[in-house]
Amino acid sequence: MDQCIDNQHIYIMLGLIIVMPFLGSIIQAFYGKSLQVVFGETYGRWLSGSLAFGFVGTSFLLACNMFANYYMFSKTDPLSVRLTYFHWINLEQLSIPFEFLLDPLSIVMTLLITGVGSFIHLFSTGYMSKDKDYSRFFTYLNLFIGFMLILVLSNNLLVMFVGWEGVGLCSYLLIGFWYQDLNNCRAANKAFIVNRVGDFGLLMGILWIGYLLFQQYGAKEIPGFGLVEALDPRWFSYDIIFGLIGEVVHKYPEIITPIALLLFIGAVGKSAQFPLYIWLPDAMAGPTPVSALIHAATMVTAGIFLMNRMHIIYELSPVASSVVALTGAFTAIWAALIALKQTDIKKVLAFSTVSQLGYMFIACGVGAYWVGIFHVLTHAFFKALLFLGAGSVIYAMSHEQDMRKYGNLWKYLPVTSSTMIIASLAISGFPLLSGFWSKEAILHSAFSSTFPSHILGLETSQWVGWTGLIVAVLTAIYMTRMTVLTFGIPFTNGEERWKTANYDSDHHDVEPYDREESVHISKSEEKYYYSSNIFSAASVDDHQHHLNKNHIPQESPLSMTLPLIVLAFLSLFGGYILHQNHTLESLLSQSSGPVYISKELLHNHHATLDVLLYLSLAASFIGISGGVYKYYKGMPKKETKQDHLWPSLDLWMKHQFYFDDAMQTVFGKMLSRISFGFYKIFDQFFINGILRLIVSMTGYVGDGMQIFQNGYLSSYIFLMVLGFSIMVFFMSIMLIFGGNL
Amino acid sequence: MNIINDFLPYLHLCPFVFVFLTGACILILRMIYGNQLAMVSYAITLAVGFILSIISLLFDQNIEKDYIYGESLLNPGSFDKCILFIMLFVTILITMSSYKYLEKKKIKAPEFYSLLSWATLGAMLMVASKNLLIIFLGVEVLSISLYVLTSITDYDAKSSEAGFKYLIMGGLMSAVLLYGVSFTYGFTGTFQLDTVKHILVQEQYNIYGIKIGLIFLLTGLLFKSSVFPFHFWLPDVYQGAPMVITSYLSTVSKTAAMSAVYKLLITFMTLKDVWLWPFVFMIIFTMVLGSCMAFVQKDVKRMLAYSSMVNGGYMLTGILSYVMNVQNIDQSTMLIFIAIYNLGSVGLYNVLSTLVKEKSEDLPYEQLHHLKQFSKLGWFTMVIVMFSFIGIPPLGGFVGKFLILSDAIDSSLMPLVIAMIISSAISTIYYLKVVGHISAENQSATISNKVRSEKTVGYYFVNVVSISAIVIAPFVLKYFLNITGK
Repeated sequence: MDQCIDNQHIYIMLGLIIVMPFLGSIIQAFYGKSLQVVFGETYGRWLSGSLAFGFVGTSFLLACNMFANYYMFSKTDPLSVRLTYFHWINLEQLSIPFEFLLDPLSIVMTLLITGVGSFIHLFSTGYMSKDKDYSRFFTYLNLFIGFMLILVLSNNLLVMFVGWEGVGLCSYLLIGFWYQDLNNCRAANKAFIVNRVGDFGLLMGILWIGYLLFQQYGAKEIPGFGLVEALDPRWFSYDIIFGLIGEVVHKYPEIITPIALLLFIGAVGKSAQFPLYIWLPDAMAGPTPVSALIHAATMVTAGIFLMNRMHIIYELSPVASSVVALTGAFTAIWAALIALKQTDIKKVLAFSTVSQLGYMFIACGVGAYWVGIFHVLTHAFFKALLFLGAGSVIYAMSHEQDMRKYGNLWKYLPVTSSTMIIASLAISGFPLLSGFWSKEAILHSAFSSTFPSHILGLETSQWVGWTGLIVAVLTAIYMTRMTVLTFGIPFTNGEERWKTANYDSDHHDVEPYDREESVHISKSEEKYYYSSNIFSAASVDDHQHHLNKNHIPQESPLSMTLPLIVLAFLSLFGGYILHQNHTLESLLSQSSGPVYISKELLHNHHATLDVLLYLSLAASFIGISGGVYKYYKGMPKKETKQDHLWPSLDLWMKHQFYFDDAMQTVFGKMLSRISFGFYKIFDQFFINGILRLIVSMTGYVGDGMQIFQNGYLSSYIFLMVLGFSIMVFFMSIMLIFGGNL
Repeated sequence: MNIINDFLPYLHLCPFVFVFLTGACILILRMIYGNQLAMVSYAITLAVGFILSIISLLFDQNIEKDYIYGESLLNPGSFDKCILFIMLFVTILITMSSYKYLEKKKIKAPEFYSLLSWATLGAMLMVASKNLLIIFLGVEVLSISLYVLTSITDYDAKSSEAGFKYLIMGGLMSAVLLYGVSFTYGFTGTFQLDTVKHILVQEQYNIYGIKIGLIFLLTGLLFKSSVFPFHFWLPDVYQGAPMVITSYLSTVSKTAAMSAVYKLLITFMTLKDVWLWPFVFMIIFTMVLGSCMAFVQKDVKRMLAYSSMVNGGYMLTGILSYVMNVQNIDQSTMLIFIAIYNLGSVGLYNVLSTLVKEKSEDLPYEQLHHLKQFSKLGWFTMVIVMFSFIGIPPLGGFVGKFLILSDAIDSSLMPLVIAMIISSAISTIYYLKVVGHISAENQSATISNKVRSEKTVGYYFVNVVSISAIVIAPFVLKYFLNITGK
């Protein structure tokens, strides 16, 4: 695996790529505020923002340099190097070095993270310019980039887990960035806790793999030969795992499916798939650049990355693969349906992200792992653009997020609207834009694969393929709806909509139960408030709202529009560039190409494939034209009303089919009741009781002894003499019994 | 050259002579200058004298001598020298923290410093000698000085009461100790503890009288180290004494007594069947009951009296573990614990001495409020010292306790280990109570701020020394321990 090409150079370069963001984070954390003190408010902020952007940008340039040197011109035999920096855990039977793996998959992810990351840093310097915690924001953001790089670059499941938890932490910190609003804190808590569920599965899977290999290949006592040492006890390193796992599975075929499923639970948590997706919509409470970077482009794709990294394990387990594909397909259609009826612009994008992540899992489930990464890349371009565009719109509309109050913004925000329209066309699968290529690749691989298993006489891949087509239609509809509502439909009653909107109601889309809970937190609730309400959260930004009838939206500054333009360019041509000549496929074939699945399974000829192109084009056009047809006259009457007046199906869709509420009831309320019971019985009664007993006993003993401490000299002397006599008495007893008491 | 060679046999006496002369010098200065000199100049005199003493102590080590004058009377080993060093250093610190306090208390008596020097001389004799008579002499010099020092504030009835109680009980126990000395001499014919030990090994238990002597000796010294049934004087004296003397009582005086007990136990090791279990029970009671009683106190000084009793119990545990298992256990444990306890206590009393009122030595918990505004450094010192006493890991107190516990386990003294853990757990409560009160910021700020005395250079110095000793002790002590030779 290791090649001897100028290792020293790569060693330093990779180290710099990873260290840069951490360095930036440390500088921001310790000197961010002082910069503002020393150079004044304006220049200090400018400097602080430039530093943050500069460090990530440097990382990006280094990664580009590396990519250009070692990958661009060596398609035939891409480089794959393992670099060990230091020993992290070094035991007799287990060695976990802090080692990194540079291969096509990790370098592509690195480019994505640092590239999109630096643009979003640039955007943030504008978007956050008025925030009082300017440098704290960049501290977290830089730290996130650092941990994400560790996640994708590590050559070791446990080092990857460090990154995995690190990005979870940063996500938590950034969702709750405006921590003074209770709802943001709840959203952050919810994200963290739901992710913990997934992380638990992931950790179990990781440890199981390590244990399995240790058990099979670790040092053994062989009778007659003595102890046989293992050659290389790095049980968690990818090269060791992939080298040995096939042999283990050959011996114990049944063991791979549970491992694969446990790893998948981790991916489900991080990548917001069906049962655990509920944190992602609430995570929109964070600042919009965060939503773009973490909750659309990079962190949530960690699950896809894991699928790609561990693809050998999934190839060995068709059952787990079909679970992956079906979960992806179900999530895709589920979230798309919900996105249809959202009124908050960021929530539409959030559910769209969940749905698109489902798409990526479809690709991974049917064995076309590289296609998942392909969609990760194109999705990063257009979804980051959409979020940044939404951020720009929100910025222009004084932090108003309800689409029902937008409209006619085309006139005021030319750059934002044109770039966002490009992005929404791209995600809708408009021909030749980047979303078209990757979506086409996913559907193609689904229809041509016969890999995982059969359900009701039809291959799983066919099922998920058809679901994907339906989702394509839905995607086009809701994206068109969002675009039209935001930028189109100039007037209702001759006036722009935010001029006629009703400002009495809370524009923030806070659902009734949330509002109630956030208003009254009575004293009695307070004590178990943290255990019961963590699951209820809403997307509320903590800032002043000035939107009123006389508001005139203004285009954002250059620092915000420049990233939009760059990403729009990528959304336009990125997919074509990556797809042309099978660039990405041949690049990723080394790290994500199938090892155990035969080519026949993946490349079957299916009747649908002949017309697939027409089908997906039709899906895209039906969706777009349907959306335009429905919304070009303005918001339908029934969707402008108050929530509870909506038709019931729409209401169900808007409220996520009440799945989130059900989860809150089951886990939030019921579990907290049970926990409260345990708290009362074990903590309050037993443990506290024992403590109180000890303390009061101590007090009684002390008080008892105080009686002798009465201040009278005579009594003291008497007691001392008494003590002396008792001592003498005991010593005489010892004398008599010779110390054998 | 000849003169130096003649002088060599007497070199080991230098530390003692310097300390004695310091006390005398202060009195002479008083005679010359009358009331013109401020208390600080006497304090400086004492510090200079003691520094000379320390230097001669360290210097003495490197000289090889054929003949040592009075070898049997005064001949400190390296362990004893470490203890002497600690005691001298701590006395200097106490002196530095005292002069402003004395001015506040209107104690314009330079005798204070003379007596402090001579008390230290007594303590040094107790540590440095292996001769019972010299030990007794040391006990007396120390005690008599302390009787006076305790009651030095003439207007405070509590102080006089404390001094009187201390005098009566101390007198009684001196008699007991002397009785023990005479018994031992009567049945062995020697005052030398080494010889006594030798005789005990040879004669194999046959001398009954020496056992009676042991009981009396032990009683006399355990009174000084305030072990359970002989601890009754402790809280009253601690509360009544001026804060500086309380500090001295709980550090130097206690250390000297512990050192003497240690020598006694080493000597009477062969008789351990007789004294071991009663002694173990006494230590257990000292630790557990001491912390129970500290728990219920309402006055900080009384609480600290019991706290010093408990810490004495820990020291005795360490000593006993060493005595039980001389081959395998290092003396450094005791040194570390004693050094950290002493330096921590000095810092603690240094801060407290700025908080007491002019007329009264009482210090209820409420008087600690608002320390944080008054002095950040003082607050920090208190917190660090309290955490160290509790035994929170990176601090020195943890290291000391940990070493003692592991030694006690090695010597299979499980009852002591359990009692020590219990008392440690209880002690957490009352130490944290202090931390809570010094951090409280609600009431009676203006009242208590007025009575607080100024902060001097000595105040800062002692605090910094105390903090750094506790924080870096675990690292520095490694070098320190090399002196002991093990």
